[in-house]
Amino acid sequence: MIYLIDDKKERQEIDYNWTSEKLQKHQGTLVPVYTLQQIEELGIGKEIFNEGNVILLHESFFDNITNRLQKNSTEIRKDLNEHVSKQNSWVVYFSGSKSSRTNSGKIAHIPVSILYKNLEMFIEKLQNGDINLDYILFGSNPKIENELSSKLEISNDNFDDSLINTNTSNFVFQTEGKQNVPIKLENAVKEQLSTKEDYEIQSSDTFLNELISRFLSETKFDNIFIPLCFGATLSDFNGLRLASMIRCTKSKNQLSNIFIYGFVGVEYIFDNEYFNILKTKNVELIDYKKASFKTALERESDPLTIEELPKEISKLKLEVPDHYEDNHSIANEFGIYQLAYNAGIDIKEITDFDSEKLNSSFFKWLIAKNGLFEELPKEIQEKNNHYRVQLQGIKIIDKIDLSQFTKK
Amino acid sequence: MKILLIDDKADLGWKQLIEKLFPIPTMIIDTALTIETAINKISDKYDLIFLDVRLDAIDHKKCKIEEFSGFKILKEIKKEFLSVNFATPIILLTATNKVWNIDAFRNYGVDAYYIKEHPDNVFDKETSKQNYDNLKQDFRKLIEEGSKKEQIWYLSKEIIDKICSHFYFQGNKKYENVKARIIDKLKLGFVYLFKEQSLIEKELLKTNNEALAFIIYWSILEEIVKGFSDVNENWDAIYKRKSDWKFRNKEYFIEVLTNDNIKINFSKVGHGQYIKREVEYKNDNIDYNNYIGIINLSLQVYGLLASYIPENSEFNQKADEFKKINKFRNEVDFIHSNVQNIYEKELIDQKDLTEHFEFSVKVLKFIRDILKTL
Repeated sequence: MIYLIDDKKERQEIDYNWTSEKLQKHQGTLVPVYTLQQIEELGIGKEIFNEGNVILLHESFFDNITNRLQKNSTEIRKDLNEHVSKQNSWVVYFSGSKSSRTNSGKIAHIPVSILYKNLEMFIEKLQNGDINLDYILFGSNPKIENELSSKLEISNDNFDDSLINTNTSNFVFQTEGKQNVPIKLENAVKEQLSTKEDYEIQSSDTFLNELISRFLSETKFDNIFIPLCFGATLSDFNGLRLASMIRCTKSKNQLSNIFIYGFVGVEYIFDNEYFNILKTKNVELIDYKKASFKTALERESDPLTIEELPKEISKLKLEVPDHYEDNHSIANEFGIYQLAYNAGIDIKEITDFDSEKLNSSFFKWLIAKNGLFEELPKEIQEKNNHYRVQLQGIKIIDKIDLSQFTKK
Repeated sequence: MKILLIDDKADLGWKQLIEKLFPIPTMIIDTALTIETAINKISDKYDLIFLDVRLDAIDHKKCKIEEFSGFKILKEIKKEFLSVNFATPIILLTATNKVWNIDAFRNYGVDAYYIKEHPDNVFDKETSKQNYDNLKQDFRKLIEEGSKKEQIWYLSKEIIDKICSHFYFQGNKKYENVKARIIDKLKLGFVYLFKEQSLIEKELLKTNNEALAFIIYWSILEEIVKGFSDVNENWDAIYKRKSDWKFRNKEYFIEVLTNDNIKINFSKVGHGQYIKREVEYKNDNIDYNNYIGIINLSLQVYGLLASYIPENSEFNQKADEFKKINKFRNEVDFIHSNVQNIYEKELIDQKDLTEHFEFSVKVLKFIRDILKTL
């Protein structure tokens, strides 16, 4: 039995098309749960933990005030992990804030959109006795990770690791361990992307922002090389997202040439959300070969300008992230940012505004494609300031006393 | 200055942003995040209201404008003329790009709107700047001019409260009708005074709604005098009196002593000067004729003042106030165009508009003060 525990019923229906009818269709295999109270009403509190079951749990379910338990959600997850590791059962944590997939065999972490996209196939396989969390992670091609891994190994084995001479300034992001490309580039600054830290963090927007701020904000480079695959799951093709983030983040290297080196062709990546970054000026996918690096370094390209950037970046089409409750929320956040920008008010002064949002790839993309990182012209700033000074001295004649209307 | 921000995301940045956009030292922003809180809060009076169209994600599934939470709140604000925030300026905050939705709100009394730019509907830089410039202009205009609207509404409310609570205007079909007409004229004057006029109306068609409003407010005096008069007396059309004219406090305005001798409760001394003093006229006197033929409204008003104001000094003051209002009314170009105006003056000029507003306030205050004598 699969227990689908998700308190966001409305989004389940509207955003992912898992309607009551569709859930009904799988009622022998799938039990949807929306509240803690419902677990009690159905009397399934113990059944859920039976051998052979799969629990699909929205990570923030126990953070919802109506579903709070004595233990916090981190402690609950810890207990659940211990429980599944002792017996023949599985748990999949999903959330809108996840951007990458991991699977340790019995415990998996995935973005909410991937879960609902692959849930039907997972149910079908489970009904046929084939329990493999990779189906919910990768859908119809659960072997893709193995396939990509072998391709990477072959590419690494065949890579000519002799030194490439160049007089350009370059930054090379590299991956660690077996994913690492053995490129040797003269005078290049290199940074290992993969460390012993949590894989999930490795591909989060926050981590990508940190990379840009730590390595690309001080020195300007002519070229930046990024691996197509890094992080826990090769098939997330996080290199496309990092390239997009570099373009959308104000830094010394926002306009530098970007080369994404990969060991697979576009047929593997064309349905990735960030694929269109490859259609923008001076971002290229290059082969995982020394010769391709050399050609890239020798290329004389017309530099990308800040004026061209909004038009170029608008070729990228990003979806509203899954962790937003609704389209209405992002509209308000963008509305606040846009109005503050037009008024010349630093968004940091609006302390109620969650400035962490500004680090998300989606918000950065919105700002970049609308050219909202440029400073307002001085005369407009002065006009705005003048208006605000005038308002401070506003006089209202014949004002009536409002206090008489105030409720006692 | 009290501002109400009705927006489910008010606490996530909108409130602070509005404080920074419009830094008026006395400004206090109250917030309502839900339809329930908003409906509760609008029973307090505010100087300006920012109103979001959709306060809930569920609104996005609704197609009919009447079902949007913002529209429901607006209907509550505008429920009746005496609702406390009926005259409060409202700026709509909307992420909609559907003109007909904005029109529906405008038709229901929203004064201005700001389009929250939506990620799917971002304006080009120039339009975006214009959007903000419009908000700045609208805010300032509504704060400054909102007090005018508030002042007229409040005077109207004082008049309505008085006539609705006093026995003079209850329990008799004729006086009930007088009351209904006064209320309707107050509403009508308000509409003309604050109806947003298009440039075509203002510049090409030369409308002067302020003058129309003043005339409407002035004409309330017709109902006021009749409301104060004893309807049991013998009346005919257009003020013509064949016998006594008594007010409801039993005092005479015109008392017919004999066939050729009448008594009036005030008298004229000098040019346009009146005092509270009973005076007798005989049919050979020119003033006698003023009170047996068609008795114009201004004489009726002086009679009313003389009857209801006990103190002479107060009568003089009120009579003087009325004289100025009456003089202004007699010079309204639409009604009494003098020869000099016809040859030399444009029909509408800006000075007229301001004066007509000022005299609308004066006539309403005058009516309110008459009612205070009750």
